Amino acid sequence: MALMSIEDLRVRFPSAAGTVFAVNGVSLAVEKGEILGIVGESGSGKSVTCQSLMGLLGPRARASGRVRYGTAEVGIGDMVALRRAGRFPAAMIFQDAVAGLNPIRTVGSQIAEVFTFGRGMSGAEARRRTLELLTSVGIRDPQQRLGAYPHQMSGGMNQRITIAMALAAEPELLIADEPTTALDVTVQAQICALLRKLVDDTGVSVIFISHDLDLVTEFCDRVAVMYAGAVVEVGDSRRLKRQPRHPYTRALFAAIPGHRPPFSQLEEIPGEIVIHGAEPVACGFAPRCPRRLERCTVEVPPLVAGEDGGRLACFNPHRVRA
Amino acid sequence: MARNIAIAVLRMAVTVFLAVTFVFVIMRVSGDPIRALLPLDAPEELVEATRIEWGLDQPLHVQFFAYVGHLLQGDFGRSLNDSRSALAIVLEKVPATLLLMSSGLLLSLIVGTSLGVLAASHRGAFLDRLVMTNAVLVHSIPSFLLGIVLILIFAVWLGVLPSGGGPSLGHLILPAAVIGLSHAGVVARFVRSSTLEVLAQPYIKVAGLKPLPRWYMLAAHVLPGTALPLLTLIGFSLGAMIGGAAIVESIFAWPGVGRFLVSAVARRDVAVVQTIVILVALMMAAANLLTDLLYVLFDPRLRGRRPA
Amino acid sequence: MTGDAPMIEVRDVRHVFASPRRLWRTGSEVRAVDGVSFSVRAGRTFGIVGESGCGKSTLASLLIGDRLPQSGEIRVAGETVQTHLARGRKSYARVIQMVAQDPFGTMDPRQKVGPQIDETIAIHFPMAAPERRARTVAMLRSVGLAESVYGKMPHQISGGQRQRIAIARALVVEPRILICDEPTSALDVSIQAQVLNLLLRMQERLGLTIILISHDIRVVGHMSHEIGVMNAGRMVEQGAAAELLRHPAHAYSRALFDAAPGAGRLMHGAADVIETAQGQA
Repeated sequence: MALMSIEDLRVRFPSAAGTVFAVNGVSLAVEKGEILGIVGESGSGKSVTCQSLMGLLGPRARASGRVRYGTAEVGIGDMVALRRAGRFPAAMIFQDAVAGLNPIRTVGSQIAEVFTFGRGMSGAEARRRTLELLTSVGIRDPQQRLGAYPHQMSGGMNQRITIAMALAAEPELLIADEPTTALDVTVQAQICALLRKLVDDTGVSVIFISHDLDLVTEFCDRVAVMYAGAVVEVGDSRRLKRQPRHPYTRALFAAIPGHRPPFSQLEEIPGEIVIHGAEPVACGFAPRCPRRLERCTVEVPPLVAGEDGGRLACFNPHRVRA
Repeated sequence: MARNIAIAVLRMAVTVFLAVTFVFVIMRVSGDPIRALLPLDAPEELVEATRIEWGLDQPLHVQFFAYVGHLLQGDFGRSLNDSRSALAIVLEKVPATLLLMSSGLLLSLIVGTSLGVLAASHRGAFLDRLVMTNAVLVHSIPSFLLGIVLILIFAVWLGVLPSGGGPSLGHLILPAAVIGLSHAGVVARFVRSSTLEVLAQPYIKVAGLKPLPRWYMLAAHVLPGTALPLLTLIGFSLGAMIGGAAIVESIFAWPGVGRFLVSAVARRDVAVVQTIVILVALMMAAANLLTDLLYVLFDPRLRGRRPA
Repeated sequence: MTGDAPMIEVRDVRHVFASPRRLWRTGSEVRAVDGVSFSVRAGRTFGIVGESGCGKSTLASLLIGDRLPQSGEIRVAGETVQTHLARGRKSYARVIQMVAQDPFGTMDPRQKVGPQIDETIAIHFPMAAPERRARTVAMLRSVGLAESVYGKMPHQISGGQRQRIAIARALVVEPRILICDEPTSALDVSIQAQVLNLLLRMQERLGLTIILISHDIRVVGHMSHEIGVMNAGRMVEQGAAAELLRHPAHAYSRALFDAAPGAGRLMHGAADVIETAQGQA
């Protein structure tokens, strides 16, 4: 059984230009001990989906949908309360690691406080656990780092700290929202390796959000591709890389430099993403889709199991090659 | 670091020097101290003799150099009133003023910070607007008016507090209240916006995801963020209060430096006025320097680069 | 300039940012560019790839003439940058132009987009206003933007469109060389494709020499003839793109390519080329 699943999540925001329908019927499941990648461009709704799980949407958002966690099933609106009551052990890390750390307190104290004030441990015990945690996220001289301040360390180091901070609460799910986008490529590789190691060692599940399709298909176990607030394709990452079936997934791959011979023209998706201003009644990608059928403009394609084990929301996907 | 302190101290000295020079000139140019000292019908020879006795017949620049020379030896001059050492007289009155100002400051901080945090946590709600409007209102009332009103209410109508005098605790209540309440508005507005700024920070959002109790969040993450800017406000507040001290002390007949300054100016007691000015300038400059030092001490980002 | 001489020649260029020693602090020295040499022939693209702090942006500012190197020589179209600048910034601007990462940064937020390009034309070419406007509109069209964009304000257009405008403004001056410093880092993948395609088309049409700087090896590998890998102010390796990608010799290059997502494709040839979306079902 899945560790957690989201069912039919819908999120709307009021804005100056009318209502923004940021998430329109997203259903996703995360298994225990897996790394699920969520990939999409701006406006895809990937961040909003995960923020709603953590109750970070803000008062103006209107969200509906259900979350199944373990045996409990709650409405999306109850996620904040659930999390505060300690019954939804999930943690989240963000793109800007330094911004998420208190600049006037030591890094060690920000981890230790979870142990002392969150779990009621003694100061000495908390210190010991903090040092352990710092070691497990690959920091080589944890004693020194205890008294360090965020501005004294590099971006990669700070991201390790935020991972440690997130793990202090012993979550079962870690949501990482573009954690490596602001980091150098070599540091990105280290952080991804660290996450993989943590998953292998502790069985924590990870949701990894990124805009980089190459990265998620190489690093994650399963990948969900989102467009205009909906999941358009989800499946095993290797299979998805070899045979993307949704026209958007395929176009996205073809747009990345390197999938075509050098100096050739990359795939250009005509038009621009349009974020829904009303409840969607058709496929969000239809206006730009080269495989568009009449049906696509009047009906929302449901996310259904495909022939090869993944799920697909398309009326005219690419066929599976033999 | 040491160089910065040295520069700051130098700047302080220059400020004090400029203040003293200014007062020195103004006091002698704006009126005749000797005529103010002696009775109106005093004979000319007595006036002249007194003037020579006090050295006030000399040209201005000669007087000035003599004065500076004495200052550097620790001689602040004598009061025209009773020929006692100006410094001694002024220093006698300093504790009373310190008591009043620190009580006022403390009151304004307690009331202002509570109201500010309250307003920030109910941002946009009726409570927020109520607190803020009142803050502006009370601050707009001139302190002497507020003082008189409070005297009327508590000393005259209710008769529970003395209307003036001191420096006992009972006499302290009303004047401290005037200073404190008047300034609380400024503190409240400042704390409110400072708190809102801190609450908007990403690290507060991230800390909120940790399983921490709410009181701890406030005490360990929100308040420390507002404490630093509050330091600069305190530095500024001291300056504002010194200015207002003269008025409040006069209204309540509180035996402090402010009230003494008012009477000394009226009497053209030059040495006393100059001494008070020096003291006040030194105090304000020292307050600013202290604020800067504390800021560096408490904000790790300002302590200079250390290797990662 | 003879047909054989390279369009750009960089010889042992060094540039150091120094914080001199003072009573209250120890001095520090950052060797932003520490002995870089390479050359680029006309009409070719030289890609520079490196991580943050490697000195690639400083190198770009040296090429464009914002700074003069402390030692070494940069020759552009046969003459040193100093010689060019001595003739005036304006004339150098017709030799070399830059497109930077932040398209918003080079645009006046309070002026409409079209007139800003008109202004650039006016600085360099004596032309009547209607002619200028026609030139601008033609340039907008060739970068794939509709004429209606002329009258828009910078905040009214998308990031991809802004980057196209930056390219339009750079090309309207008819430079021989274009320096692109992380031109697509802030853009979505599909928009990045549009901008890179545009650059390729423009190069073919106008015979541009391009220096393409990016931290993303995929971008550099896609459209460079020669590639240089930078680290800590030095160019640790350089050579023909295809060869360098397939057989990186320097340890740093290997580490960089290993870590980069999608680099496997570049390194092992485009074996798994994906058919276009219009391709077989």
